[in-house]
Amino acid sequence: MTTDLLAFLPGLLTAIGGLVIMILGAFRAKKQVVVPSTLLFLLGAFGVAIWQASMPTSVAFSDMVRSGSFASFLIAIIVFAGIVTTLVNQEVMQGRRAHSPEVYAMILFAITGMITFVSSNHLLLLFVGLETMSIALYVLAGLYKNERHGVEAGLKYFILGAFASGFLLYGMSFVYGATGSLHFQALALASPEVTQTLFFRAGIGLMLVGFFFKVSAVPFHMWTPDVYQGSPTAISGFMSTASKVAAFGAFWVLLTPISFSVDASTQAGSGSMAISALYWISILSMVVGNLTSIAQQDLKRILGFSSIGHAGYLLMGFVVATPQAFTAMLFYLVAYTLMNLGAFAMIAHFERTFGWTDASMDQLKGVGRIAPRRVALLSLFMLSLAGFPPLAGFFGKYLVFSAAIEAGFVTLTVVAILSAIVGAFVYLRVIGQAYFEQGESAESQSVDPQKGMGWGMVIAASLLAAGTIHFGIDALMPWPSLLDWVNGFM
Amino acid sequence: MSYTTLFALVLLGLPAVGALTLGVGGLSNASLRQKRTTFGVLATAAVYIPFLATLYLGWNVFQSGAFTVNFGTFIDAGRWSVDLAYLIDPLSITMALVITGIGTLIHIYSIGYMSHDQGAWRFFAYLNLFIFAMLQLVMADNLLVLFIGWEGVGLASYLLIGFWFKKRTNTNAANKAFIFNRIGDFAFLVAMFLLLQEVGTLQFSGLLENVGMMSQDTLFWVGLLVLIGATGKSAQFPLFVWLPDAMAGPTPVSALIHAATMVTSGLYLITRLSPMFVLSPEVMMIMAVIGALTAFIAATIALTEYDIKKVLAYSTVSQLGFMFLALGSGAFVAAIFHVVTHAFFKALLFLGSGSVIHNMEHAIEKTRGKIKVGENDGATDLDPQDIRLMGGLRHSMPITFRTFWIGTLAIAGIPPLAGFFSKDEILMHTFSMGVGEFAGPLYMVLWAVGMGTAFLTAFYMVRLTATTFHGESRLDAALPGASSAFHESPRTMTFPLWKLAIGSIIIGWIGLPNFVVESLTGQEAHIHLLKEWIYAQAADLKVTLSYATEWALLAGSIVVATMGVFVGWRSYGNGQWEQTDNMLQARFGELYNTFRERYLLDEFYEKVVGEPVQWISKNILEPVDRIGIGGIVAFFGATTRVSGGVLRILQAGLITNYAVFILLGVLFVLAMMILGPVVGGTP
Repeated sequence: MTTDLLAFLPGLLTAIGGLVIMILGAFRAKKQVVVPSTLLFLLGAFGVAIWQASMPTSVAFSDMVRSGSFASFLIAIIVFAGIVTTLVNQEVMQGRRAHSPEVYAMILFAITGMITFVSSNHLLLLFVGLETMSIALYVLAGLYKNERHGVEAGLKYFILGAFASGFLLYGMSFVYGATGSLHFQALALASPEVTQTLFFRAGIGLMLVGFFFKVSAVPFHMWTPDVYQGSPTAISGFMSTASKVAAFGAFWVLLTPISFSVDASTQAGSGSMAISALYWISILSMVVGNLTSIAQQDLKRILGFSSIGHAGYLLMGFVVATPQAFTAMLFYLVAYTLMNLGAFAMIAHFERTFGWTDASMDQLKGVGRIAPRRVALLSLFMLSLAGFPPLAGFFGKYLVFSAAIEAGFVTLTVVAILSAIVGAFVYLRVIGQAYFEQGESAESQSVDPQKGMGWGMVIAASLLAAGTIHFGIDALMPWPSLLDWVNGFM
Repeated sequence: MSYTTLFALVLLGLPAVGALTLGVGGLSNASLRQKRTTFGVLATAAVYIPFLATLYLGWNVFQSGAFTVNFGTFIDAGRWSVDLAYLIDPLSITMALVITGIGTLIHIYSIGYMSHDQGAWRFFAYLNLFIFAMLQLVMADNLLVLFIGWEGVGLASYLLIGFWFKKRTNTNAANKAFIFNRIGDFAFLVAMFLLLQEVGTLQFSGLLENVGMMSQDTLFWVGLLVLIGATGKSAQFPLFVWLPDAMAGPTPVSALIHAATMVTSGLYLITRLSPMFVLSPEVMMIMAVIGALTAFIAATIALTEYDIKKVLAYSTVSQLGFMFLALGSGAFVAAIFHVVTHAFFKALLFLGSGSVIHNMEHAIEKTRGKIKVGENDGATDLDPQDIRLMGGLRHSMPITFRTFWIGTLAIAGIPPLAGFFSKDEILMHTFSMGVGEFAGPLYMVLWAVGMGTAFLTAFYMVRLTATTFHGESRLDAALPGASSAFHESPRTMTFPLWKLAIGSIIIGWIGLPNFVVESLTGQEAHIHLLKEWIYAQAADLKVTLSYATEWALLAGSIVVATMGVFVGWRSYGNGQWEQTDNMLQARFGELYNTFRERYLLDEFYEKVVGEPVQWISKNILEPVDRIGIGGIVAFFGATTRVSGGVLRILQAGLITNYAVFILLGVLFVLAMMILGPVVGGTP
């Protein structure tokens, strides 16, 4: 029992943390108490996850839960995203009515769900984790319940999320019907006679729908820009990173063994059961995500479409499904988390500092003159998202693309590169808007623009910026790099 | 890590560290930027310490011969690879000593010169960047690393010419320099590609061992392309027009970059590849013609200029022409010798001119401050660089005056000052080629042009010096009372002047002509120290002249130089520049006007290159861009906007629409799952 609990320790910490914050909230605790306690629980979970990541994979709770190596590594990323979100959120939401202690409880519960999600080794637990995460996120998305966009975001996310969960559950029942088990291993070891059946295939397909919805792949993406726009900005950053890390991680473990078991029996070494679906959805996501972002005028919507495009690149890893693709995907998740959180954090900061009513591109005009260094930070994250060397985003793309080329997916890579170029245009436009356009709006703001970043933003932004730069070049450095670590998971 | 590697690292790395530290330091904090002297001292240290390291490395080379320092592989691209390697041999050490030694003096001078400039932090960061790039250039063991430095000095030069970027003409000058350099750089790049294809390596020793493998055609084209590259960087005809404009930068920059070091990098490159060039006499001939032509054209323009820095700029172009004449005559040692001596006296002259300009500016500003507004409108646009406003400065700035004269006599070629020895050696080699078999008569003509230019050099330099320092002050006429504000420059500025003046006197003695001793003792002499030092790198062609001829040439050089100084002094010694110039104009008529209008080269480029390019851009490329490419972009933009519009209609809060898309997606995924693998990666 103790080993079981220890294996799930990060999840326990965040769950207990969530409960503690709820109780603190009931006693009207001050933010000065709530935020540090949240951070304390998250830091504890982060430490445990990092420690567990250095250990080999083990199972607990009668094969229901995995921990160690890869799962714990993903948990560490998720918890890190939680820490940064808390740091940013406590600063940018200051003074708003929606800023209640329960926000942090919800963040902790969402993280608990994500941890359950990525450590699950059983479809039922996977569903429980996913729903725990989702419900907490529905609440967070609808925090601004007095604003039109806020209500729209919360409600849309909830209804469509429930819709997608239905498909996922339906698929699970199909798979259970075909194999008689919900254990990942049992699915992976299912005999070709079973996996060839329409029943099983349809089941996997329906489960994929739930997955695609969570990672906002096209055409299951349409909620994304609306929800990111309506949610509190720091929370949007959290949703766009942590929940995707969880979904990609969990489904990698679920899907790739099945795919391989199928291809081993049919055509030696090539093609998996879900490969066509993944292939086309990946292409659609990259192309639609990047192209549509051109037409956007709202920064948060741009980042929403950007996350759709990035989901496409990450799905490339699923299509290729080689060991290189696996490490590339893990690296990309780290890079994506850092730069996307950074971009959202900076926008959240500007929103607050300049009193923006919305995050439209026009607001950014002239901000580069008033706050050149902070815009430089935003530009750093934007450049990394665009894939400029020597930043983390570049190296992530490089790894994914080279894995795809090595596996022979040339067309896919060409499409990916072309769409990345389109995407780069959008990110550069944001930078150009901030630095080169004249704007009166920012200068005439009543809020003192000289007001700098608070301690939370400073810590968060410097962590993210340092990571974005460091992980772009650490493979070239003499010391052990992230890539070496990630390679060790195989 | 051995000591030599460590010292090489200091030599190559410290200026980069300096540039970064100063740049980041200045960028980070506005109050830090005010500590201009600190910036200057740090920058100087970042050049002086490498100078000491060069001395150590030089001692090592002297004792145990040349060696390379390899910092690992730079590029590994299949069939060829390039190392990040540096060559420490007599030639590179000689260049590095000039760069760091004179660089140090000019850094010290800049502390005083830039002490009132708000951008001093930027200035010193750029200067260090330049030193870093220049050292890359001369220490490189292969052409690619050299090219890094080559481009680096171009960048630093661009940044420094346009240093006072708020004035439009300065940025234009910077652009001009950059673009003209690019023309040369392009040719150099093509030469590298050719070499890589034909020989398969860019490393110097590998290249030079295999020059025999190359066909005569390849040798010619590679040589010609490298030569074009060098004419861009070293301001030779027809690409020299950028250098006079480059004087828009601060004067220390003109001294360091546009006189002493960067402009000699083309010469260095050709000397480094000299074993390849001597195999292609045609390229050598072209080089000699270009050199002599440049020397003569620039000297004639210098005769007519009134801007003190422009005269020096054209004089630099002219001296660089001499160096190219030396290269073309197979006198590689003499070329490098002239690089060294020229670095001293030209840096001295530029710094002296900077001192003069500094003084003039100060006097004009101070006096103008006393005059009531509207009282003297004519004085508002006085040019502190115009020698017509100078005169009589010998009283108020004695140090500048004396050192400037030393520089003038050195460049004029009066023995025993530095310029005499190197110039004499060059002309002797050209004469020797003139009695040779290949293109003899042509080289004879070039020798005559060289002698004429030597006379002109002495003449225009005395014109400049006399008009600046002698006679009576003419500034008073334009701005009454201004001459009372004259003063000598601060010690940080006069200290380098003296050091450089001493150098200009004695540096020529490292290259005493061997034949003088040989003809007297009848035995082989070794008093040309520089030749003994760099002989292995610079494969000189032998001079095949009798001692009597050599003595005659030596005497001829002295006579020509003395004549030039004498005639110059007679014509300008009492500040009578106006009468003399008018007299010259009357006597030479249109020819003089051609000099005065700088051979209309700028106008020629404007008409032949500028305007056609603009016409093509406006009438062909612009429509193609606007209608063709712009149309495509607009098409995609419109398409996405339309689809965005469609999406927006769908997204009007209607969740049902989203659900429909999800449903379509479900059908798509299911279809894919049932159809099975229809795409594959590895076969």
